[in-house]
Amino acid sequence: MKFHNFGYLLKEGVKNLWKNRTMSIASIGVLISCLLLTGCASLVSINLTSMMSSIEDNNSITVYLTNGLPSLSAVQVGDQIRSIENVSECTFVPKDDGLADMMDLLGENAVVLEGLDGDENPLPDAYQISMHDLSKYDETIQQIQAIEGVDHYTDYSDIATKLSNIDMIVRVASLAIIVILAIVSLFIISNTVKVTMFSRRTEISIMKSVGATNGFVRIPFIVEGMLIGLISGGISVAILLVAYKYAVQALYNIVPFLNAVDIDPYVMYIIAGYAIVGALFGLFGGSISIGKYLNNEGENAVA
Amino acid sequence: MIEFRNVSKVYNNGTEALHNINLKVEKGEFVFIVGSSGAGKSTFLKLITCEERPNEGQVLIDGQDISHIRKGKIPYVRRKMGLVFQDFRLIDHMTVYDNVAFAMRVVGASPKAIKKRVPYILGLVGLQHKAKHYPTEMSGGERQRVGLARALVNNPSMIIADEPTGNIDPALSYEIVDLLSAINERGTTVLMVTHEHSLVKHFHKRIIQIHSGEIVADTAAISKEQQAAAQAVATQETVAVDREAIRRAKEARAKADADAQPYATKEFTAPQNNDQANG
Repeated sequence: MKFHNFGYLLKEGVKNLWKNRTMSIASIGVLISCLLLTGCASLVSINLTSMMSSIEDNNSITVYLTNGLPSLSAVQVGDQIRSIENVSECTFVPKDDGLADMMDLLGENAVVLEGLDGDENPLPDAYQISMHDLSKYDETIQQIQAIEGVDHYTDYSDIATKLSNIDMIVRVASLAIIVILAIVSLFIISNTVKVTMFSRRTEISIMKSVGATNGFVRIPFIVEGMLIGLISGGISVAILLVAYKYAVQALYNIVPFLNAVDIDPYVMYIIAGYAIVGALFGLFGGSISIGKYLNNEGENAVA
Repeated sequence: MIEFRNVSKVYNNGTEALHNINLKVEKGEFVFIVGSSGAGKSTFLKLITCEERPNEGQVLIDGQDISHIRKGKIPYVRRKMGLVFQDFRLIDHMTVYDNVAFAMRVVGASPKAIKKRVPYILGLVGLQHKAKHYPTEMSGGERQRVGLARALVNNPSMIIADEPTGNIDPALSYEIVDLLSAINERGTTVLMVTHEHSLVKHFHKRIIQIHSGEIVADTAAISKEQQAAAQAVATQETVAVDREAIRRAKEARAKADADAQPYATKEFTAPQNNDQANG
């Protein structure tokens, strides 16, 4: 294709988009909502996955001792835990330290814990342990629980399972919504292009009658569809990036110990991805209707 | 140039539009195609423009069989012909210049070639001064000349005109056919479908008459010499009968005047201008 043709076809596509702006805006809106939902769902999913893995990496278990257990017995319990083969590390966490940690976590809200230090401290002493081999997890836990003076233990496997379940739900639900929205946006884009095509049918018939190839007739409409896709992609990626920044800030304010995934290094990929997905949607939407038109009526456009 | 070999066309609904058509139109001919509505004229044209394919037989354009041509090649066959429509098919929001340029642009002509060719073609149809006008500002005759310019601009070897004078003032119809004749004299084959017998009679061209899907008459064109001879004979006869005719006419006129006296107050209504109504 010669260059002057390309410029002309591109211009025609932009003209189509503008002439038919109501429908163009409608399809851009629908495509934006589809792309935004996809983006939100994937960001939520990415964050849940990263949270799960950080919890799993840090496979420490806290073993709480019975409240009021004398220090000597506590040391004995520690020795017993260390004697279990699979335990790699075992650190004593006195209840004062436990309280201090908790106050640190709460930050400004630590006032609620004031006056609970010293003998008033409701926390039990604890041991923080790690294992060599996680596959022997259940066995080791049983051995620890068998030791006298051990009250209960907490690990994060519960939370990890819960997070994994949430992640699953988010993924399935968003996938379903995305599929539906994708179909709807394809339909709307193809309809938008169809409206343009209808308003330009005289031109199409003249083009066909003077011997324009189908490719030539098709390109402005495909350009129109792709522009719709690109504009939607641009707008939604901008919204998504800004919204994510604010959402992460808000999340830190509520639960400061969570670590949200930093997407800054991937911004370029995300933008490129949106542009490509948007353009592809436009391409398909546009091609559907123009292909149909040229097959059904295009040949009869002459007389 | 155009050849039909045993061509039959039956539409899906069972209508037999054309039956065993055999026809040859040589390069540089001017052919009128006449026939009543539903005779098969449109089908005939559609077979030439590759809009329909024959069920039987072959249609050849420049020796190339187009009855089984691949879809992708149809545009290139159409570039050999310039189409002129009854309803002009101009784009109203484009100027005359752009309407003609459009036809060049969509077949991939360079802007330079368009700039050079369009004014030349507009001059050929006598519309160079109207290049910046819009079709809606023009009369039917002028619009059809724009249509003709568009058909000509890609330099086709044949012009196919489907009732080009159907929407035009009868007086202006002659102008259009004159123009087609002039184009024909430059070597372009012209195929014109028409209903207007006066036109066909006036221009002594080859006439193909289609009736119920068959060619019922194919009258060869009268050459210039024959035309002149016929004209001369007609003139002589006219001179001979002239005196007698004038005398009779005078008598008739006197009698008619006398008869018309009682109706003298009745107004004569001029026929409506067709052209404006259609615009």
